Amino acid sequence: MTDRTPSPPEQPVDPDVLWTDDLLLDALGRGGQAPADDAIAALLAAWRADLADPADPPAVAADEPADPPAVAEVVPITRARRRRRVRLGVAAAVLAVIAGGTGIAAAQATHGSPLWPITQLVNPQRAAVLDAESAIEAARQAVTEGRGADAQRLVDRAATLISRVRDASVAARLRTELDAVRQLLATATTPAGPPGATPGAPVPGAVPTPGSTAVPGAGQGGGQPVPTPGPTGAGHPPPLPVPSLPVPSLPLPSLPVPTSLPPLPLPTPTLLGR
Amino acid sequence: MTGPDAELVERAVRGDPDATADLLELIRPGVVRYCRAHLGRVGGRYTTADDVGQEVCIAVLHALPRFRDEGRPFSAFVYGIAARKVADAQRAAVRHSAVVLTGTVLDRPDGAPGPEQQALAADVARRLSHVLRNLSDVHREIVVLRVAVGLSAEEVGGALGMSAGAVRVAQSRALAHLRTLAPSAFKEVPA
Repeated sequence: MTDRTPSPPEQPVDPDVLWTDDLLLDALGRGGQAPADDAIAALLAAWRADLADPADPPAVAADEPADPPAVAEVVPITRARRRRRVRLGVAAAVLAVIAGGTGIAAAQATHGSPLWPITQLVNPQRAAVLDAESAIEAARQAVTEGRGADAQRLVDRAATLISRVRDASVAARLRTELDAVRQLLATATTPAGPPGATPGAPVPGAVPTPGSTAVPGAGQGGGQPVPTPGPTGAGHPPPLPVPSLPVPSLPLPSLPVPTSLPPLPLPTPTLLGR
Repeated sequence: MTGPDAELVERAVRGDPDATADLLELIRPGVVRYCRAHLGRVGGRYTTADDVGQEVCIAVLHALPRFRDEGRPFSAFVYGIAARKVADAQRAAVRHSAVVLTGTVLDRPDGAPGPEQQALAADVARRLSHVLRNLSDVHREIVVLRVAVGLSAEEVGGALGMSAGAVRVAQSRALAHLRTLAPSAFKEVPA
């Protein structure tokens, strides 16, 4: 036995006292009440209750309702094993924390709050919001960079993530943002739409009148701006949808590039006034 | 007393997110009480202690993949991390003691339990922490782990590198010491 207590030459402790004290501490440790005649036990019990008390109600209240009020003399040493089914979102947040991703950001985001319940650590809702926001942002980025397939995939992913956000107002805001990205994506992809639906293909010979031509089919564009001919288009043929022809990359004639330049007369130091 | 079972720990260490979440839920209340017990109230609140408790939980999450290699009981793993974080916080508090110690206990705009109850609870906690300061470091840690956290003597032994029997002897001595100190605890209460 490697007793680390100070002042080694202490008397051995009575086994009965050892046993009684052990049971007492077990009971106090599980939040039990102290025997009425034990002042220090009462102090410890009150201290234990205070430690578990004010700002941490969810964890303690949810975890320990099954504990009967324990009395020191009758509580054996047991291991209460509680397995609680935890929401999937919590697991996602935990994963994010492990991965050092948005979970850390979530944890830090709450750092300044005045009463900081530790439940914020695994706040799955905050993680879901952050994940959705980052997916929306990534989708927007993909649209602007012309990566249509990526953008579509990210939009779908963001929609899934938003569906996990329980706060209605936050979810609404995220959906608005996502719709904006969808609009961007539709705008970016529409001009290359299916050729059969090519709008406003004028009949040959028909004289186009400005303002009435080249209006794309309503079902196609969804109302987003479409390149329309300017008002000066009267004398011009209406702008046909131009098929994007593959431009052959012709081999350019390689001109003989002089590799050595003829020596130019350089200004001499004397010309520069030196 | 609420030590997670080995199978749950094993799954969490392997990276099972459900198990990790379960495990965290299980250890969190004890970690919070541990930090509160050691750090006490600042400005009448446990906010600072809870901040540290949060750091402990994050640190446990990050260290979890390494747990298997250390070959210690899981509670020893958790409260080893917690002890380091609390020591860090105490050092920081000493560095900024002027700021920390002058934090007002008045003017709490909210406060769920109500001012009188909170003052009483704070008073008990303050008396107790004052009494605990008279114990040796090991005795104080044993009392915190046994009472505040609720670990068994075996778990405390694992955390402190002692046998369970040694813990039981030490905890009895700590209690005896506390009993000699208790009367004074109810009289002289330094602010």
